[in-house]
Amino acid sequence: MPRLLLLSGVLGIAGTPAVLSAAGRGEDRFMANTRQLTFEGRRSGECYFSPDDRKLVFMSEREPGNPFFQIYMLDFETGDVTRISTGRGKTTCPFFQAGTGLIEFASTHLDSDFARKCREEYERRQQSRKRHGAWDYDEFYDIFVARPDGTILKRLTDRRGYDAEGAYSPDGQMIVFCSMRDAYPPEKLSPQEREIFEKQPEYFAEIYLMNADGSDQRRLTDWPGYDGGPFFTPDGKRVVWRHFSDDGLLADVYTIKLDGSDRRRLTDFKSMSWAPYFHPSGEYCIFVSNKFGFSNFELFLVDALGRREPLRVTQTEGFDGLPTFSFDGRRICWTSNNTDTDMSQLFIADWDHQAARAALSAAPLRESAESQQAFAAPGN
Amino acid sequence: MARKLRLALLILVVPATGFALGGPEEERIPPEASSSVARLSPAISADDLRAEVEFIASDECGGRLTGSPGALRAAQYIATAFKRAGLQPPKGKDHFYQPFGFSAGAEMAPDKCRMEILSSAGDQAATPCKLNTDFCPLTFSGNGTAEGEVVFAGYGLVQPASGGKGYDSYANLDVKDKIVLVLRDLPEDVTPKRRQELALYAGDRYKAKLAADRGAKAFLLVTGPNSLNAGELIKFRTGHRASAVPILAASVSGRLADRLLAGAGADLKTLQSMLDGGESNPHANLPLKLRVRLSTELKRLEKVCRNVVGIVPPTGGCDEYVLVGAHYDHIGTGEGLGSLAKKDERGQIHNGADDNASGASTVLELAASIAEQRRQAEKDTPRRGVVFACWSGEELGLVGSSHYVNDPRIPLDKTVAVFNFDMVGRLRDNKLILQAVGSSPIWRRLIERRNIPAGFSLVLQEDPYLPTDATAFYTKGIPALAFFTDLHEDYNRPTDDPATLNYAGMERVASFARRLIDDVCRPDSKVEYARVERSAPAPGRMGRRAYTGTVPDFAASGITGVRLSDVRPGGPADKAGLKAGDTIVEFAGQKITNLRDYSDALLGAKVGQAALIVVERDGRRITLTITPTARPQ
Repeated sequence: MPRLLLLSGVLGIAGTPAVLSAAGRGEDRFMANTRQLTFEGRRSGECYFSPDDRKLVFMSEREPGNPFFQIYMLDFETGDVTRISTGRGKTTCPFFQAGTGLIEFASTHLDSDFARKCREEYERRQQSRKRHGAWDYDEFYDIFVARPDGTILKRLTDRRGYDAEGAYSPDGQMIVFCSMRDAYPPEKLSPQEREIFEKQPEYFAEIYLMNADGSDQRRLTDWPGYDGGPFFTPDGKRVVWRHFSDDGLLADVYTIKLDGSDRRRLTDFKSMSWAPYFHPSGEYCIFVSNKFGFSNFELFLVDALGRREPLRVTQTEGFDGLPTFSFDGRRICWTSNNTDTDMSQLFIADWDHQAARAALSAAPLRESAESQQAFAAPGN
Repeated sequence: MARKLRLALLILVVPATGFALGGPEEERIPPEASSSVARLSPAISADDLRAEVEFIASDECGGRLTGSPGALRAAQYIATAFKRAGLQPPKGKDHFYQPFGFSAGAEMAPDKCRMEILSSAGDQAATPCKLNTDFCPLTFSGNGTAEGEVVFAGYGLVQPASGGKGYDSYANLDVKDKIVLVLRDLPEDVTPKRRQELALYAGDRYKAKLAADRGAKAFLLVTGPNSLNAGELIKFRTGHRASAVPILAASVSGRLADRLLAGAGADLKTLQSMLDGGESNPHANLPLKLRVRLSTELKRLEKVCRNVVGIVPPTGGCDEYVLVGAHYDHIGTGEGLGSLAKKDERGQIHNGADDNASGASTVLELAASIAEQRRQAEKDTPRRGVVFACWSGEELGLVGSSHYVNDPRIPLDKTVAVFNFDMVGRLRDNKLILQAVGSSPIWRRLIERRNIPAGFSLVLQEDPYLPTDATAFYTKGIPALAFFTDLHEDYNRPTDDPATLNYAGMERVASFARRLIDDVCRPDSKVEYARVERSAPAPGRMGRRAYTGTVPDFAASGITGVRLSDVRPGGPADKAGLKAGDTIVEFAGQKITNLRDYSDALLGAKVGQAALIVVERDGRRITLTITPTARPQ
């Protein structure tokens, strides 16, 4: 490598950027071997492990001519990435079903107006117009089940309104999801509710349960404010999700029994705390918060009963979110925009469960933990 | 040596594959090379890599300065390894070497170098000066004879105001047709920050050029009494590469300088001390009343070195190739080539284990492994061929690879991609840098897939304009991917030794690269070429140095001017209308004869100020207007 050229003003070469390792940033407390997993496509986000941890299902914008996410499956052994969704429409929130290898996800591919929305999105990007709100509650989102080879097997929901954010129970028998069906038709809402619907339709989103075949769809929460991001706890007995305040600025993590009773608050973090996901041990939950800067999202841990203050996991400016653990509890994947293009991609790291347990048991008690919570070991 | 005996030796030393290794000196393979190569396996292995690096970066290879016997020794090793791997020589050749000529410095003709002091009035006899005691030509001197009045010009420094506070030794000074006497380096008593600012403009050659620009006939340089090596002559280094300035230039001793100043009642120490105190022109119009006659004659040396190029042919009717390359040259004992040796390390062999025995050995491993795979595989399966190349002359400015690009062994339009390995031996924290990723959209897709099992913490860099051989190919329209494990404290120092490398890491890098090469060798892999725009510099981080966005053609020789192999899209040159193939002959009124002139002209250029630039295109002179922007940093 010739030093003359390296320092030369003629080629105008910048030096290699100083990329601090995860350890250099202080993230080696619970994580090791951090590295970026995806590079293709404009951006990627939100991923989930298969029950045998050999595959990952995730969202990515890499379909030519479609500016929205599609669902892909990555094989850790071969590195092959295949598309699960149809390639058309907008898709979100995939999840594996235990025992069958099937994948559920939400999609708008049946929306006949999709071509126009596609065009508008490309136009908006050309003019660099800022997107209003980070999330898109297209009312055509419905939940579908597909085989890993991409054949759509079944449509599970068909109600007007956003149905998405689905996840299977550990035994694969049920799905918990988020639905805005109760806001439709908008004409039936009261004038004040109508006003809210125009600006913040997610206010009406609630958590729903259904059987894996789509039968017996029933509401679990009834709480004004955005209720979303639900998952089953590892023992299958509760649902964990986050609830937003009325104005949509604050959010916290909660769990609830499947019959809708015993709502338990895990965080009172005075920030936007969302995307909770339990560690397979059932002992703690990881989540995302902007506690340290309105657009600086970082990962935190909180114990399963919410008795202690959350612990910080990541220390990287910008977006770090949508964390999930492998089913053996030894790896973590999340989404970060700490990439060479500044667009989000998936990252993976080894996870030190013992270090997390030790740190959590030493964490200070949360002052406002609800005292009537009886301490219950995981499994109750 | 009797022909029969020589043939017999060839048979003993060289595996019988029916072709020669090159010329007589190239044929004489050192036995250590043969025995080392004989122990290599076809698989990619850390043990092989270690053996290869230990030979190439050994003291016996002397730091592999381009054109040196040590570089030849390394080339012979590489050729022997190519042969053992079963590579074929390029079509029409019976050996792997691709020789090229290059400019290797200058040699002084002592009987033609003379200096005499004449009195202004001509009333005294000329006083001859002694070569190597009183004066010595500088390696960048022009040839000829000059006679004129001597003028003292302080430190001979000119720093434009846009580059900092500004400094002009030539203010109020007329040096036209005169012989300028200048102090070396820069004022001693300045703040470290000011020193850094001025250092850019204080090079010996740059000062000579400034004097030439102002009409001086000759340039005399003296090391002042307040400086390091006070009063000593600057040694003439025969092998030192430095292109000539359009002026005669010589170093003079402190004693001689004082003699020249005595006529005006001045002495060097007083003058230097005034200058060091911050005055820039205490010397203005100091009447020395002396004339000097100077003659210098330097002979430019031309030497030969060689690339080593071997082929694995395409199969199944395919006629395209992938090129896998690394440079094997380094900087010898470091003089004049950007050595970063510490004081007590100077003059030692720079073994260049990471830079770039690591890359050369990676190419050898890939060659053996891919050649073996092709031997075992179905011959009818369509696959692209692979050109394996080890370049020399990289440290001199991509000379070897540029030569290949102008005279390729496989046509460039049949070469679909280039893989480059330059410093891949120091993998730390699992971090591997992949550069020039922007040169094709295919890279991200292949990298993502192959890295999932490989598991590196990858850093991707889009920019395809790199200080390594890949650039020579990218500027000719071929997508490139460069592998790099980052700089370190032993870079360009004699401490870059075999024991410091991470061989297990190199094995992982080579295996990962192998998968990517296999992917690109599939004929259905479309490797589209992409132009990469330079992004606008981040606000608040503007440097003051002028940037034009030109990419010189490093292999262009025998031209007066700087020929461009490319202009960066969206850069100042592109906007001004310059094109690839243009030859810059003038910039802001200054004649440009070579790359150094151009580099110097940029140093003095003002950011944001339009300047006239004259290029030769298709035999015509075209004047364009260019506005340099700030160099992104």
